[in-house]
Amino acid sequence: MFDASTGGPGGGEHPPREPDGPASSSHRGHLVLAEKVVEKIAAQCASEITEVGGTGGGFLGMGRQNDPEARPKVSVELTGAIATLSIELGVRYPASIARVTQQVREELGRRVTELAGVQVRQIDIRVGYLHGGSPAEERTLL
Amino acid sequence: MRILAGGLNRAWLTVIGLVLLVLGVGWLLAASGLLASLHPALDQEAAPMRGASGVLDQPWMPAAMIVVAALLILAGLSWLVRQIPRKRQAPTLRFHEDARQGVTLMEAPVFSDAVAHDVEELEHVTAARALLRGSRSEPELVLRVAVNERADAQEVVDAISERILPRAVEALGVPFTDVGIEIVVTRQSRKSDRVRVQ
Repeated sequence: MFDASTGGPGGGEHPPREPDGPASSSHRGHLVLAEKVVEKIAAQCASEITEVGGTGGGFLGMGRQNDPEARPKVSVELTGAIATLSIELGVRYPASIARVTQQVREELGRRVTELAGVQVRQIDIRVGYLHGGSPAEERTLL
Repeated sequence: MRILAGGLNRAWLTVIGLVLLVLGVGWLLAASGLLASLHPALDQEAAPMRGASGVLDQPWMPAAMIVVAALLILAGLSWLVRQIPRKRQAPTLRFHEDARQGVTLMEAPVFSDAVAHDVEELEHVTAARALLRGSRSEPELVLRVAVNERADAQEVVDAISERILPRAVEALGVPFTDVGIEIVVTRQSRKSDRVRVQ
């Protein structure tokens, strides 16, 4: 990351930077993530699990339909650097619902912490539908 | 698929029948004079309702009749409500082990619809409905399967047992404690505009 106080990496007569030290961090500014960012990160991470689907389409949040290819709907509640996630998703039938949802919980807990820097404490999952498979895996011959 | 109040109706009919039987036998015995030795009012020549007007003229009688009527109305309404067919569907299914990490919930119809859709993929099946009862740990499955006239009912039942139920158990994670299959033969057929060949 570029540090304005030193004029760039290794700049001039200034003392060497302490990338993780308290002195330098105060000059680097702050990075603030909105809830929406965490929600989209979590939704994308969940959708990357093969057996998980979401909802898509609709207008202004109304009339959304089950879509195995879409991202699940995630809502986040932030308290400091701790996030509580609620996710509504679809699971491929006949995959084990307990196994898939546990995988979602573990994957989100790990990856959201990695990517967003917030600690995920609790993930509530609601399975909204079970789907027979992904349309992308099928070819339709007309 | 739906639970009717047959047991309740039979129980109350039995009670009412027994009460009427006892009253009828008592009336018969009193009329024949066999109970005269027990009480003078039960004598064959007696007029047992002679003192009734004294009771009916009491000031509290209207209030007592209103209370009795209200109780009868409540009993009748309760009986009518019990006549409404009930599905006795399983409550929300819980898949989480440790609620501190978060809960995992799924409504029972979500699972039932998936099983029914799976059954509808079987040959000769024109429609299917599924109902999950019991609980997540002790689930019961009821299937109502409509097949066309060409279907062999035993083959359909075998296909459900060998192909549909194992998939349902895999998804749910626990075996069914009870499975009921109702086969209905229909003249209707189901056509599809596409077929999965691979």
